[in-house]
Amino acid sequence: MLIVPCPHCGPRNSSDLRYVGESHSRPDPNTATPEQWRDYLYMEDNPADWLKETWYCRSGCRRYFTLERHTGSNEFRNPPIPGNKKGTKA
Amino acid sequence: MVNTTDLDLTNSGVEAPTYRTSVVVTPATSGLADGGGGVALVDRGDHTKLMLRCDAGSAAAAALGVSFGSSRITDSGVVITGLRPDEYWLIGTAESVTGERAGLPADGLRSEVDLTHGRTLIEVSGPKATGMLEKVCGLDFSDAMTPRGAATSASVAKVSCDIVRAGDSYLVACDRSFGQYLMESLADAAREFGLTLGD
Ligand SMILES: [Zn+2]
Repeated sequence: MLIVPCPHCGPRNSSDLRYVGESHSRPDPNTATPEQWRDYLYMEDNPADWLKETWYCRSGCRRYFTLERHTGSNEFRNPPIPGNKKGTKA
Repeated sequence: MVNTTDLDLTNSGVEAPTYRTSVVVTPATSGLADGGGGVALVDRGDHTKLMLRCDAGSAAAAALGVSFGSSRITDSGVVITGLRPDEYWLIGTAESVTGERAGLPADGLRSEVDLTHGRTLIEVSGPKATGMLEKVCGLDFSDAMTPRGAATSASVAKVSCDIVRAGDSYLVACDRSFGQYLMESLADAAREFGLTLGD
């Protein structure tokens, strides 16, 4: 089981959390083209490398937070920053 | 935002509906109980459960006297617990919870919701309670990690639950629609330890 370091609850089974997805900055909806908006909503980088992700602690503190995970080793790094929602910059 | 200062839980002019538990002890559950006493399960769903959201560092938060992850029991028997970073629960009889609520300052109090009818509450006690919970929950229930007074939330038998270690018991709360399932799951997990149902 993947152990996710929640900034509020501490290490938790990943089944206690929801994987929200890669953290991308949200384009300005007033100026974004349909292509940019589609990329923001649906396209993922999916690197075999360090990846900034958003998680939701659904069975614990019910907070969104961002952290970095190495998609090859599943190692986490950087203290997660509480309160970040999908698409906001860390 | 709700103007909390105008709320009066005792005299709102609306008669509070009689609490109906979501936990029905069926033969399937009672058949698991051998009265062994290793684990005792009691449906405490009729306890009043008042959720307050407060600003951190406010007078209201200070008066509650608990931080996220901890709880205390007042002289009137109310369990006050910080279940999430800005979310507090008051659990107890209607009268005692109303009394504790009345003593809180308004400063920093953002909202309050009576969850009594929305949540099931099961009291887990007995010398084997910790061992039973560890079968169905990924948390470390050792005294070092989950001491008396600890309050947390986690998956219990695949249901998102709030867990408070209050005194000699664990209070486990979940959405009422899962209450029956949770009781049956806990009863099943408790079977090997000797299960007692009821008060
Ligand atoms: Zn958490």
